[in-house]
Amino acid sequence: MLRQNTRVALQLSARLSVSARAFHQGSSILNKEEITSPLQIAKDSHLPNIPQEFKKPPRQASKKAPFLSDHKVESKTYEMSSFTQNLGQFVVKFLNIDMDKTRAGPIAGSYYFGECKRQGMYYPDEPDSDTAKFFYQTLNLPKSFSQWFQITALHYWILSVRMRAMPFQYGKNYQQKLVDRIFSDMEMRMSIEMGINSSRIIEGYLKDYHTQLLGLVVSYDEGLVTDDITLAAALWRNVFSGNPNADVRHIEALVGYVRQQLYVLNKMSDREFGFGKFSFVPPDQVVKLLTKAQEEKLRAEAKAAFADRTAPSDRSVLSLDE
Amino acid sequence: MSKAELAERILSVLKTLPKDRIKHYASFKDVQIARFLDAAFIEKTPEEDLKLQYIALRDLVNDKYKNYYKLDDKLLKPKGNPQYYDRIMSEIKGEKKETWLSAMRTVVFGK
Repeated sequence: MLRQNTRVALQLSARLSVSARAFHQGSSILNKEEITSPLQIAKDSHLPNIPQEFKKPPRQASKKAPFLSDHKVESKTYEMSSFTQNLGQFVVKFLNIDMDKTRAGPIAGSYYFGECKRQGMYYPDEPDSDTAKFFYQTLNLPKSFSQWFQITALHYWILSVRMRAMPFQYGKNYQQKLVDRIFSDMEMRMSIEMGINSSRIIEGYLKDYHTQLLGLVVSYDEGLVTDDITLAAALWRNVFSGNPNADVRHIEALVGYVRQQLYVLNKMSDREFGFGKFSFVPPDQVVKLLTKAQEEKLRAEAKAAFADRTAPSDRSVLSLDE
Repeated sequence: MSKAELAERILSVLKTLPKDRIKHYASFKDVQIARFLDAAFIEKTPEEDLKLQYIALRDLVNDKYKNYYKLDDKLLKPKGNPQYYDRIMSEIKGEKKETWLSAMRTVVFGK
């Protein structure tokens, strides 16, 4: 009986809040419906920035470690010799290797990892990249290792939403490779760049970050399937560290940023995503909606691009249609 | 519109927000209500900025971005794990708790 009553009360309060929201929808002072870029949305607001307080200023990097690694295969200019290529193709064909599983390493564990890391990356003595400017100068987030982790984790989550939609065993593998690489990179950066000598302290930090990751994935997932304000609150708690002076306009800009990335990922087929064709839309750009015709055109172009990739290492069961 | 009126509007939107489904270390709703009840903050903020705060909040409450960038079932019911979001939501809302057995199944098989 009691439970029934609370349920009725809940339904009622839900209905009331819906009607209150409808009221605000009608009585707008400035009904601007078109979507602008996250950077523009955030820049509109001129609230004075009240910096977050720290017990002591965040530790900054004293050295610079290689962005991905020292290994030659991760350098931009690396090209495999034709002999190694042929040998590799032969091995893949002869042993009938599942390339979708193997590809998770170079794509999720290297390319997508680099994409996630790059967005919030900054070095004390170097000018910021455009995305870093958006996060640290426009949104006024403090420059710290933990803040960088929050930005990276946000981008990890965006990608993991898409990876879930892949066939289970492959999606799971992609997620695993990406998150493993993020944490091994953090361990390396803490010891080389931040100069923490004790591996016990590093391990403690890693455990903390792992707990944060579990929490933020649940919060963002909840925001994804419910509504914008829940996602906004989750972003405020995590990316904005629950800062009571955070500018709501900035939070809105970040919600728009996240949603536009997800829209692009939604329109991308498993095959394109699995082959690493996705890169994050910069915050100064805005994603326009695709028409049916444009969508079909893109699909056809993707099919044409993959039609002549017939080498054993390009084998894939990932769908080109969805 | 005067600043007091804008603050009142912002507060009335904030009050319609649902309570957090699980308790977090800070509540967006409570913190923002406290912020806009602060007369000194309203006093020193220009009207134009206050208006933007209101518009931002209104857009978020009206699901502007969720409705504009609509996602298909492809992402919301992922084919690798179609029950993923339903299970999370029912756990968060407290409708259906995971049992020890279903939790172990997730640990072992990943879904």
